[in-house]
Amino acid sequence: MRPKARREQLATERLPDELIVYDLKRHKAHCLNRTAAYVWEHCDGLKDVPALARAISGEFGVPCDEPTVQLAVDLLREAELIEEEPPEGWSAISRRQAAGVAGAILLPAIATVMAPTPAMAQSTRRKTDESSSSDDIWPNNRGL
Amino acid sequence: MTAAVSPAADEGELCLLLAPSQPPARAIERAAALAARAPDWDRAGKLASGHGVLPHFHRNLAQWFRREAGEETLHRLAAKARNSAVRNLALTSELLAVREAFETEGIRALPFKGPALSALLYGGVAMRPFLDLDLLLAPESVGPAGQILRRLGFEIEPPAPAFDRPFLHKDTAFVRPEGRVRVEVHWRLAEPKFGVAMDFEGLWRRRARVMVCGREVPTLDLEDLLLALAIHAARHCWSSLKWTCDIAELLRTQPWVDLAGVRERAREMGCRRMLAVSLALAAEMLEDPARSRVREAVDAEGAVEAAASHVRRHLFQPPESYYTDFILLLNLRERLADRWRMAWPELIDQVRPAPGSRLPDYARRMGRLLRRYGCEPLVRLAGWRTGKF
Repeated sequence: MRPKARREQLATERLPDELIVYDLKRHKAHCLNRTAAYVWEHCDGLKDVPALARAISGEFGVPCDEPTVQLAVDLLREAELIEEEPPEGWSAISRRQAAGVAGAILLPAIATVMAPTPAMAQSTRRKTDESSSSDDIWPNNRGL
Repeated sequence: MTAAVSPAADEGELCLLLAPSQPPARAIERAAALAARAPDWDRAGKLASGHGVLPHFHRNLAQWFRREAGEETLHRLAAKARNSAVRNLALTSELLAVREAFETEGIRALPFKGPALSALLYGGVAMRPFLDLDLLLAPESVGPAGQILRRLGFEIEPPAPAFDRPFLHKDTAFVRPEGRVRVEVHWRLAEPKFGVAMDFEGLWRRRARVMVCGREVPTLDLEDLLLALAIHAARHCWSSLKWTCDIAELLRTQPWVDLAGVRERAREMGCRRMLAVSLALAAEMLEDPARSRVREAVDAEGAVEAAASHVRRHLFQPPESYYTDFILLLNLRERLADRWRMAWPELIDQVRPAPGSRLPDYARRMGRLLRRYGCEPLVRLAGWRTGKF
């Protein structure tokens, strides 16, 4: 199987340890860890799973096996970031199966999150105050 | 830029030092000295979050002080940076939809601040938190734009005085009922009392283009942007580090920006000192040679130095009186007309009688105001007129 990543109607932003993929159509954000991000970025419809596993091994300097890549592809498909449906005979891999072979260091992970609303962000703003239990210390809304 | 902050000076200074996208070497050196004193990293992170600089603070912390800050703190900050990035992406998708709807109807709109600014300065929308979308329109387009926004499910955010008295305001806000998206439609860059009118036709003619999530979006050109950022920061007394960081980033990443031209335009608009304070504050976040280049462009004036020092002093400890900031801004106005334009709405607001009240009450309030603030604004105005200001 040669998975192909969906690229249309998506916006991406890279943070230090993860890639955020925002689905402009479904208004959902997916946070991909380094392994999942690498697999998604290299799913070009030309590389098969063993080739992807070899590429990951080269990139991260840690041996990567096929179940790890399969798990990443499954997670990406669940998040609707892979174009086609799985072929017949494709068996879903559990995290336990993948972890058993590859170890936790390369385990792919995708967290799908809803965008926090501006109202939620603003509701945490408080004056600079030691007794405040807010998340942020906001320096007042100063000015004219 | 060093700041006298209290009660937790080290955390405030750390936030300040690690806020820019690329802190200068001297800032890292100073931060290392502070890091050795076991600061409260969570508090520093909260300050960074409140000042809108968390993503870069987190990245700098992870790069330079991972061991000192500890994985747990970094993990918490990473989660907040992720939330902010997701919110930014969601807002950006709305901006693209709104702009497309405007374009279809032939409405010229210049997105500024928010996604366009973030993409222009930081190469993406994740690293600069924003909470709403700002679109600058020609005054005659504001009405039709409002109708389009209503069609897209937005409602005017109450209270909505701006449409009734547009000559007193600069923008009006629209929100989706679920509160997820807020769009501010601007027909001016600052309230009329600031007296810094900018002609939309000129802004549109000079507009730049920036790629935002794969789409080309028009925005202010660099010189207009620098002025707009300086004015915006001044309106809020440079109270959020994010605004100074934006100016520093513009100066760092766009060294070809015509500083002499911007100064000249600022002089014509009567906001030369506001620009100078912004440049003075931003210069401290830069490495040479950019720092020297910017410092050369700062007018060595008492009012500018005093204002920059006031901003640094109150960055993490806002002044108790609103009038401290008011006087600061009044000091920065260069023309008598601008001072008066800025001063009178404040005075009117302070002494405006309650509905149904009679003149004696009005007079009592005026007297209370004069006693409370010692006529300081009026005295200073008078001082300026006699050359003592």
